Amino acid sequence: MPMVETNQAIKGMKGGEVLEIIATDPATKMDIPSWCRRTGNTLIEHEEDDKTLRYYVRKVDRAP
Amino acid sequence: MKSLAIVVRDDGYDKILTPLAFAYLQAAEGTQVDMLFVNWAVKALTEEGARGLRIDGQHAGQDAWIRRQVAKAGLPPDIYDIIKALKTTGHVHLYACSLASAIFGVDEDSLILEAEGIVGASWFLNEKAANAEHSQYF
Repeated sequence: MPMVETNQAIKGMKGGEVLEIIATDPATKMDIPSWCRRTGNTLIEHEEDDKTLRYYVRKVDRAP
Repeated sequence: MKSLAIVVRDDGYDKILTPLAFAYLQAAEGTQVDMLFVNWAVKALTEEGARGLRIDGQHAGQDAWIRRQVAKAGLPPDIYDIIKALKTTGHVHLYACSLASAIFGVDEDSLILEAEGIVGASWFLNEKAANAEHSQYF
């Protein structure tokens, strides 16, 4: 479940760090941008190679 | 979404997958998820019941195949193991309906440790479902 794994992975990261998400589920093309809008994280780049989807997401920096 | 209340009625393996997957997705994002298990589904809050869930009806012959597909999708193929995964999020609370527990033979001693306990449907509907941002019924 890519969205569960994405949430788990980003929890352990610091603000400003970039998470690479590799998925094969085409629904992530809608799920990841929607999740970024809700959480404040930034989708930097999205690549699609055959059936592999790669997303690069910068974690929001909530520090004052 | 801050909170989600889910009432689960069906106990077929395939039918219970959806509410559990929805709960897992939302809880992973930090949503508070409260689930009430009613009717036959209350048996899913016992270890024997959770591990014994099977696909019934016209798709019964596809049980093994579905479990392989579930594993491929990244979920444990066993319902009890999915429940354990839900609890690791720290945002999911599982309740057994008192009426269903009485009818289907579930008591506090037979509940899995992951369940919060046996509660009245009235309490759940008023304290959890009515106050949740969103409610779902399966």
